[in-house]
Amino acid sequence: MPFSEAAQRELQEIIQRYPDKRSAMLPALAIAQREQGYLTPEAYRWVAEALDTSPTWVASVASFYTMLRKEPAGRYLIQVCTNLSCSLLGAKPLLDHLRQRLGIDVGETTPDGLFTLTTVECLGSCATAPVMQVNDRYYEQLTPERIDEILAGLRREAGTCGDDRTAEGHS
Amino acid sequence: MDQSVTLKIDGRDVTVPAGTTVLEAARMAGIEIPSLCNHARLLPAGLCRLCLVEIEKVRGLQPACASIVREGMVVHTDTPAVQHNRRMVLELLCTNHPLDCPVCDAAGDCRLQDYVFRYGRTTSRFVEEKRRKGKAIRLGPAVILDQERCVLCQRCVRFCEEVLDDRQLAVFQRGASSRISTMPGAVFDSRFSGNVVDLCPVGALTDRTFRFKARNWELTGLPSVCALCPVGCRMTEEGREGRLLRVRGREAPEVNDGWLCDLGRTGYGFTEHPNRLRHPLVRRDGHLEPASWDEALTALARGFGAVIEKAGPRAVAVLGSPRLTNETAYLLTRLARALGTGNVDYRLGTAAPAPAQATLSDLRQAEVILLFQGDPSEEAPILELWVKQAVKRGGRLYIVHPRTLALERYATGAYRPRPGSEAVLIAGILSMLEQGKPGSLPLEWREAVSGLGPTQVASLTGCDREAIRLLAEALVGSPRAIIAYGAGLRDEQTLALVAALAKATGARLLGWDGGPNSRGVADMGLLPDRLPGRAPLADAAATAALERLWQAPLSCQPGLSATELWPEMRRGEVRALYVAGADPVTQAPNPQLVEEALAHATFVAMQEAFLTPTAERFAHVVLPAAVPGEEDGSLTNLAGGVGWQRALIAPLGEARPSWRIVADVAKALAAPGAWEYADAAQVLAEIAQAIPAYAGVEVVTTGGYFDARYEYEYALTDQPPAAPAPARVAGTGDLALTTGPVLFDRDIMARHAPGVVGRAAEAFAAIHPEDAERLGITDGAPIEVRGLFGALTLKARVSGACAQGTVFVPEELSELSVNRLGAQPGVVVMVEVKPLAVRPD
Ligand code: SF4
Ligand code: SF4
Ligand code: FES
Ligand code: FES
Repeated sequence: MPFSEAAQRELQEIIQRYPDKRSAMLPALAIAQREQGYLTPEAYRWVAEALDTSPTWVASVASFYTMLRKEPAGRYLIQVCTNLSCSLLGAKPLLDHLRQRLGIDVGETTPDGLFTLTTVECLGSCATAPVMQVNDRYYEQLTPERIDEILAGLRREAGTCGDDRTAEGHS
Repeated sequence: MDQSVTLKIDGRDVTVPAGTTVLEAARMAGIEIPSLCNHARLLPAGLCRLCLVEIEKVRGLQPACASIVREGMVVHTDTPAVQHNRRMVLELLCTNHPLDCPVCDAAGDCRLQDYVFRYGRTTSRFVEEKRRKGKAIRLGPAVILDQERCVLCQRCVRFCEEVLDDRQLAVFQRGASSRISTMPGAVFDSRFSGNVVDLCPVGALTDRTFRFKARNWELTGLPSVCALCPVGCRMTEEGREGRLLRVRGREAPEVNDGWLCDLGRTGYGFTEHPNRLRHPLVRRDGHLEPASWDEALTALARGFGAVIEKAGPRAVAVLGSPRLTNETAYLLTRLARALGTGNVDYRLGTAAPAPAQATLSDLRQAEVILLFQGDPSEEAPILELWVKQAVKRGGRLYIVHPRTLALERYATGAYRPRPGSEAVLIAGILSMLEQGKPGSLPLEWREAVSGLGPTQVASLTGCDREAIRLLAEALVGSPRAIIAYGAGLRDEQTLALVAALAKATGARLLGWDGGPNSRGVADMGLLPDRLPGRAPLADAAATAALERLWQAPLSCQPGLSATELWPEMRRGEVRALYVAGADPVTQAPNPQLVEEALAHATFVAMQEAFLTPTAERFAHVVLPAAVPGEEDGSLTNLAGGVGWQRALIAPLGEARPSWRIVADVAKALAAPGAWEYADAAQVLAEIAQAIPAYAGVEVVTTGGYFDARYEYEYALTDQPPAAPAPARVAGTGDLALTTGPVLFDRDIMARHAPGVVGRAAEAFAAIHPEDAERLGITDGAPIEVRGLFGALTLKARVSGACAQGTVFVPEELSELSVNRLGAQPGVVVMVEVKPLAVRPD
């Protein structure tokens, strides 16, 4: 999958901002991830060439950051906060609820490719805990019911209109 | 002036050169500070924290490896704080370390083991489950990684970065999950990959060919030199119970500085190959059959005797090879001359290298390097590292080569003269120099090159006129310029021009061809028109000295070169041939002629480690020879440095050391003079007497370095040189053939080493994308390349590295005889290339 021209332009523009090209490593990786959903050796090579460094080095830097994905995620990447505040307010049972509704474990993706379930550390929104992030959106003060609504909404958005209970059937 | 600094370490006054690290200063004083990440040939990294010491007036413990000595510094390496730190670092390293020493190749040669033994806790407080990481990961063809054993010292990573400038390894992930790896999906395929095994202080990186073969304490080792390419790397051979099991780099700043390429490291598997010849063979009723040494030598004496009796000694010819040790080559020369024939040579399509003027240390510090027709990466790998180092230090690299080399990204200028016009390019520079400053050219060359104007040179070579001028300027402008020519330079005329260019510019020459010991073999006089030491045959004093030493009258007639030999043999003028280590049927430029000639020969005897096509079809007697690792002997590397190769193990079966075979043959033929030698060292002692430039060379047998560079006027003939012109063209195809050695598929020896076999590319021909498109050839498709004497089926490699209008076919390709295409010195061979229909299967 080649990188778009817009991405190329954006990367070049960011590189201009630094005296040493390699300083643009993280924004460059973020662009690559946005383009392809996750980082591949192709992305490392793309970045390495632009920054005049080796793809191995780029891959090594990328591996340091958990927010840079190395595997494809479902269309919706669900990141459930399991840090202190959220845990105190029931992150654990919520996570179990999600597991059950989606029929997958943490780190897995639903067979239809729609959802990937992960956990993260503090999302910086403790005041509205428990919190989860789906792609770029935050969902706060979660309850099991609220989660069901969100999932249904996302399914509608994706145009599949599936029934929540199909997932239940798995368990 | 070197300044020295005095400091106190553990109460002792220590004086060391300024700039030394505390770690090094302590080592010099005999005080051990444990260290894992530090390595003498890598930059300090301060990663492992094991070397922390107390330095008075400095707060906190300091890394000894990264602290530079200061006058009056007071260092304590053994205080409770220091000891506590060591214990802690070692304990932390061991928490997740698998402690699988019983099955670890490094056991007995592992820093972690040694340090825990010496400085660590005696009991473990760690009760948790250990972290699991990757085990036995095949990083690449030569190296296996166990991530759990890794102490993250990053020596391997730093080697890739600092020495190779090729970052193929890095630390991935973070914290306790950190691990060494290649990029996902990538293979650690550097030609120097095996060095990380030597560097790894623990058993995390292991050598694929050595894994699980022996415990370190069972191995015996000998310092030796690698015999597989003209660098002659200093190495250590290790083995047990008659088997050569491992080869490792040995410190030698003047040669390889401890590094080895993977050919050297993994290439010695041929010692155990089942196809090795184990006993002599004698042809009976058309078949080669096993025989005893006595039978074989008797048959040989009868065969040669009959020819000499009937047709005189000049009907005998001797063909050596650049793979021979100096001792073998020297005795062959002596044997030929003592028998009364001058028909001795070893060159099959190459030129004898001019004696070296520069050392490898000079190369590492060169300001200007002209790399002429040579590809270090394939032909003399360690030189790739040294060229990179010179460039890193600010040196400028200029490359004249028909292909785009891996080193080209370091080059200030790259020139791709039309095939066959390389000599014109050099002559053009010479003529430019003479015009700029009359009198700068050696007299004999003035007339020859005077007619070559810059415009003409540019149009003949296709190189930019201004670019040529810049190259000339660079060479003249630097007192530390080196002209390094490689295996692509095959004809004596071009070599003579290159030598003239060196002389005119003050640049120093360094050169090599595809053979590991070409320089030594030429020095030993295995040439039809030279004596040992390359003295001309007409040199009466040299002749007299040799006659005295050899107790025999010398044949001082110039003989036939290996090129002139074959027609004479076909005509019946030369009737008996002795071949040592060569395979003319696959190596000589004109295989058709060679086969016809050999078919006419009355008697052919060969000494070889494997049954070559030549031996199989034409030899009457084949004598089994030892291989490197099984025989002592000296080798002269491309910089004139002589190394001593050692026999770690006995020759296989009834094979004998090559030099001894020559002496045995001489005795069987009753050649004049004494032929009793106790060992190779005794032959070397005689070489020291026979060749002035080798006087004193015996020091190499006790580990000394001997520099056999000497002044030598490179003259082609006594005739004034002819005006250089583009080379003659042969063949009717439309692509010019270029050829040269490739690292992992270079000769019959490497082909028999299991560690190397998998690394050779499938027999290929490289072709420029535009030519490929024109001819309807796609990358990876089978193609036919038809040359002067036949055609080869090869796999197309479509690559912009190959100049348009040329096709590159590696010199020695697996079992294929590339010489069917007819590449020969000083001639441009035009080959026909066409796609082959893919078989439907
Ligand atoms: S693999 Fe060996 S050399 Fe590389 S970081 Fe680990 S311990 Fe050090
Ligand atoms: S560079 Fe040459 S001499 Fe050195 S290890 Fe490799 S093959 Fe042997
Ligand atoms: S702990 Fe969940 S947002 Fe801070
Ligand atoms: S040797 Fe000094 S920190 Fe590793």
